[in-house]
Amino acid sequence: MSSLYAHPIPDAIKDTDWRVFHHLAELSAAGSPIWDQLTVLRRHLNADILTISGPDEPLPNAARQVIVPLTYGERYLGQVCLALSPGASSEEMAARLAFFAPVFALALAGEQTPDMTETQEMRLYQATQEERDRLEAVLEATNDAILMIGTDGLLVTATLQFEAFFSIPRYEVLGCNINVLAERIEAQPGLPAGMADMLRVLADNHTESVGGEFEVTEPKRRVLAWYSLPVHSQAGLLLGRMFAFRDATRERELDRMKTEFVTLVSHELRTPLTSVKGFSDLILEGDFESLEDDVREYLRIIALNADRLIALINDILDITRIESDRIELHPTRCPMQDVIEQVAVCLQPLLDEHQHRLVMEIEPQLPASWADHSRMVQVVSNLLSNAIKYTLQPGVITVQASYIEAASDLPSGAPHDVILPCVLIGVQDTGLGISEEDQGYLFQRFYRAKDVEVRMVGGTGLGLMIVKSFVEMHGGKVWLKSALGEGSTFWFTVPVVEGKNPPRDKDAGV
Amino acid sequence: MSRILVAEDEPHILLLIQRKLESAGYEVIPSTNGEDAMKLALSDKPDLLLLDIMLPGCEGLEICRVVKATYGHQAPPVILLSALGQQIDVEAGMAAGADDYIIKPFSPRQLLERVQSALYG
Repeated sequence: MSSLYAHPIPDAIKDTDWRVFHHLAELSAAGSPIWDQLTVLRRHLNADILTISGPDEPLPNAARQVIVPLTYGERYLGQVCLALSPGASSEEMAARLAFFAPVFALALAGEQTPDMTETQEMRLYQATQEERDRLEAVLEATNDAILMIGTDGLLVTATLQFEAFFSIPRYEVLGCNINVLAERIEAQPGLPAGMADMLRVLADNHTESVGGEFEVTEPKRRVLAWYSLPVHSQAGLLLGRMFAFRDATRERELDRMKTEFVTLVSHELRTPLTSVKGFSDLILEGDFESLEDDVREYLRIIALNADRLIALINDILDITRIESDRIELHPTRCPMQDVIEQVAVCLQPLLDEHQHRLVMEIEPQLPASWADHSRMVQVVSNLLSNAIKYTLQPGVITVQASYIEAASDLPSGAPHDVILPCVLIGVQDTGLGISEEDQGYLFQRFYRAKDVEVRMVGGTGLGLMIVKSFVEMHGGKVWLKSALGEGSTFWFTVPVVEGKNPPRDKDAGV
Repeated sequence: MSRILVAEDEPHILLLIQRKLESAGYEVIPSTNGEDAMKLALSDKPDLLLLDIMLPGCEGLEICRVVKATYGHQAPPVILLSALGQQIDVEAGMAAGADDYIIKPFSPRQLLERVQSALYG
């Protein structure tokens, strides 16, 4: 007889072993007799003989067997013995048996504690039952559909809302394997195609928390926001995976209505503004020699403020589109020097008005980016007009553009996750500068620096948020370096798809 | 002297455009709805059409398409005018055969420059 007393630490535990372990733990917690658990394990391990014996009891008589001692704390409770079938590896079986041993040790230790009196037991039972009813009532009353899949892959919980959302009767799927539910979902009209696979994939995943949103068309059109995560008992034992589905139809509807409202209002505002701006321009541009100086000045103020209002409406429209993910990029091969030059030409009147000097430091032969030209114009235009506006005394505004291949070539203060290679663009001014406190909030919408001088300059607090959104949509990053009274430099990057020597040129034999 | 058909349902904006173009020496055929504009475009054959996209009766895009299809190579230039500032509208306008696209609000001087470049471009 070859016996092996072993207590090795299992290094690779099979998934199925994990599941059976949890199943046994659940049986044990539910108070089922230790022999039932032993039967489950015997079948799982494919063994003819699997016994538990007390400290002084004789071991079974088998040709080859593995024996694992059962201990609880300092107490030696007995041993679990498994008769090895021919060809089975004793080391492997010993390791697997040792893995399951704590379940039996715990059950044995429980059996050996003195019995409770019958009244005590009854009270405990009632309390448990009440708690269970309460929890069930709460679950039934929630507006979310909640599913719970046990570690053995069985659907253990499905709330009332689940029936309402998916019109699948609970009794058809409760207690069944997850595959039954998945097949039922696939057969149900109006549910999204990927939902069943999502359940199948996640049922085997005991670590990740995920979520998303999808639309069902039957029994009622709904947008459902869902999330799913593994759940554990207070003692840390994995209980399974939970899915929660929430009706987000109204939220989405409100989002859409808000967007439509803003778009409509903005559109309706443009028409009267066209008249206000148009007629003041008509007078200012016309040959009204007789116009008195102060009248001309007042008209100029009217026109200027009409311009501000128009810019505000455009910004609000952009923000609304950004927030509702309705920005569509139309990327083309986009040389950034063209963008910068175009913006510089447009803003020349503003530069002249403030008597700033514009310095361009653009590296020759910058590789082109793959970007939406008009969005890039907006980004550069917002940064450059900020630089002009927030430099109150005549100053110098510098626009730089260079090709960056290595992270070490980026200016200090750059984020760590810049996609390379890229084109780096900087807009530097000699203006008011931004306090460290304000810098953290600068890219949020409607945020404006607290400084009084800054507040004197017209602005909406939307420009930088638009800059950040557009730059990030292109895979770039934006950051700044500034201190009060020392001017500011705003940097942003745009990834480039082709290196300095575009392959197309090589192909053409250039 | 070039004749320009201006279709715009907002009377103030129509007046604004009319004044600016007339002061530059153009003859303006004004129209405040799409059906009239369509008739005038086909009967009078103006030298240029300035069309608001959202017109009651018949949309500017439709007039543009019909005019371009009717006159073929001899079709007068068409400039569309709209408060819809989205790229997709610009593309729809260009697909309808428009030569240029002006977004409201506009400066009258810019409008004149665009008209001149469409006429003599």
